Amino acid sequence: MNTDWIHKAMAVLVEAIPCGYHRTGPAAVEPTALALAALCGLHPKGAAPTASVGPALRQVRGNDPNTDMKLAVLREALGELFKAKSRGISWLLDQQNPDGSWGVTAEQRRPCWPTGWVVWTLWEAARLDRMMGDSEKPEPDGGRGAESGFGDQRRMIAAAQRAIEWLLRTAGRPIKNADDDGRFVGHDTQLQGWPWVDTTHSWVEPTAMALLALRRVGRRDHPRYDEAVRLLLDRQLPNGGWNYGNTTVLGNTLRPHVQPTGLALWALAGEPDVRRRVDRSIDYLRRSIDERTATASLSYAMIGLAAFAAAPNDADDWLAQAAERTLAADAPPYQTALLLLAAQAVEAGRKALHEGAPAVG
Amino acid sequence: MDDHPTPATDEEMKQADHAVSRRRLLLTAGGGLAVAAVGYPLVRWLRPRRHPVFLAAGQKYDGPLAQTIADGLSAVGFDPAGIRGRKVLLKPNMVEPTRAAPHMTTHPAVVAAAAEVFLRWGAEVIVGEGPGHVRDTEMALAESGIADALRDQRLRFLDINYAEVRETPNRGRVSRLSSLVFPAELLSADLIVSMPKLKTHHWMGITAAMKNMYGALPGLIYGWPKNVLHYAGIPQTVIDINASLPPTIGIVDGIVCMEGDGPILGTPKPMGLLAVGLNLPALDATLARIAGFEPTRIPYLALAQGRLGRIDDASIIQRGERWQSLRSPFDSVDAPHLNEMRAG
Repeated sequence: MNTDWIHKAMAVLVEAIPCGYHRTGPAAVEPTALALAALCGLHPKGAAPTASVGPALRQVRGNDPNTDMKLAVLREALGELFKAKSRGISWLLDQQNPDGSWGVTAEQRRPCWPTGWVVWTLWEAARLDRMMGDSEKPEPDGGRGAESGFGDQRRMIAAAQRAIEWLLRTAGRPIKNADDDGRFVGHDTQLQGWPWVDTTHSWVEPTAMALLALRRVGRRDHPRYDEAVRLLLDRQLPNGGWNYGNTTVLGNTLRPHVQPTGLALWALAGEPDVRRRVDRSIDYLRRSIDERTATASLSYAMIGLAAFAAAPNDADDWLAQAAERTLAADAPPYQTALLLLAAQAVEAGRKALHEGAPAVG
Repeated sequence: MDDHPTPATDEEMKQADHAVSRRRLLLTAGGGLAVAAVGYPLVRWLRPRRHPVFLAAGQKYDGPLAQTIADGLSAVGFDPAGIRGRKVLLKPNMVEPTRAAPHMTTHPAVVAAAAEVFLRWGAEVIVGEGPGHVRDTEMALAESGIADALRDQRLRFLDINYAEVRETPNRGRVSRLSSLVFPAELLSADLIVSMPKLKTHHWMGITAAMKNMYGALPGLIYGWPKNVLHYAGIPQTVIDINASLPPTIGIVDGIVCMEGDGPILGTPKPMGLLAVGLNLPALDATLARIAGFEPTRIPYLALAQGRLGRIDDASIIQRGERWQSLRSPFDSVDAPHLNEMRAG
């Protein structure tokens, strides 16, 4: 596995957090949340909390005569890592709106579709903070900052819970399917799901983000959760893929796209009885990606496929090639974070396959 | 509704005056505007009664498109001297690109040719777009082929969906939206060139230079699709967006168009056409006539009449080919609302 790029990518995020979609430009909520998730070593399974730094630690253990020096370097790097995480989480917590939601940037407090991503990240960061052993924490002078772990766990959990309440108060706007013979749009327009913008219709990607957040905080029992699963399945195209969220318009079937398909698969992973429904989705994704696929699409595809332990054998190489292109350009933090999340997901999916366990619980 | 909405606030007046001063740089008397130091309301009053639209037939993607575009701009009265040192933003259509349907999006050769012309005239040229149905801009650039044009011409791309934004008053005031949010860099452009693909549209009849400007709004704020605009009314928001932009002209890729179930699922319609206009309603109205639609029945064009320009044939000065000789009705979805828009 070519993992050289992983350390470069981590360095990009450590420097950039809180970060925007591009290297220049204002910090934004979605890329900052995803970058934090990536740095926490998170992946869709939520396992191996130090997956990103663990391999680096293992590399310097043993009888290497330079171990002390390498450990010192690593300790300094870990210190920077913790500072970046702490900085990012503080920034996110400061951006929360009074109603519990998050806008898209510090200046643009509406719309609030990134809220699900922040919940997902904060919850996992708090969990990781609790789980992390002392052996992998830097020394007190290693730059972790004054806070415990990545920040105040209770504040993170409280913020996430307020956000969940906001999510459950927010819904896509049902629309009348104007044409009585069903030729207007093909999907069930009464399912609520989640919109990009308040008071508009529900679409695939914001619904998937909310679904992931609800699952992360253990709210699978909520009726909105089941309805969101139904919505995603209802918006699935005949060939198994998804697009932004229209299946047919005026009787004609629309095209699927890789990125929303990967995200929808990720959101549906672990749901009972969906495997049969998503076999075509997996086939579609595997047919649609290769080493030239654009970074964000490739990353979401890998996460979605890995969630079903179905990442292609070439996954590592393709991600490495995408990383080479991305990091050689202006290394946009958003895409860099997605690449890291995808690499972690592929590793987790491979492990799950080896152990015969589901990749996503 | 008010045919000639006038700016109400000091800020709007300032912006309008700025827009006028920039317009004056770009247009010669032959193009229509020959104004001295006048305010925005007066300029609107003096808006030319007739708008020139240039049509070129027999065009090919591997032909001398830059020459055709330069000729077209000259024919409609564009003053090349006025653009020297100014920032020009080319806005192609990349709504949902796929290599399987190149007739859905603006051909990169047309974008490259337009860039060549404005660069030759001394302008700073950037390309910007906010794809409406896909979040992955890198994918959209690759699938549309625009990435190749950017690389070959060393052009910078403004990722409109994720760019830094600025809120601006809705100067159209036709929809209920009080303001609009655009990328700050787009608002600072001296000239925007709408560069759509001529297509049928299963709600609006056709889509060309005016509807293309939906892609000037960021998905980060409006979503994918930009559903906020749909709820506020598609024709209404088309007017509002166009009324709120910096000076905008149109260069339309009609070489291989889309007919049938556009703007996404339609089939290729080879026309060999390139169209240029300084006034977008007049330009789109001319293209609607070529495609077999009656402009006054196209909802956004009907709203544009008198607000942003004129769409009646008598108010349009034809340069180059005449539209009557190029008329070739496009197939469209058999639906009552679309059938009502057909000419004849």
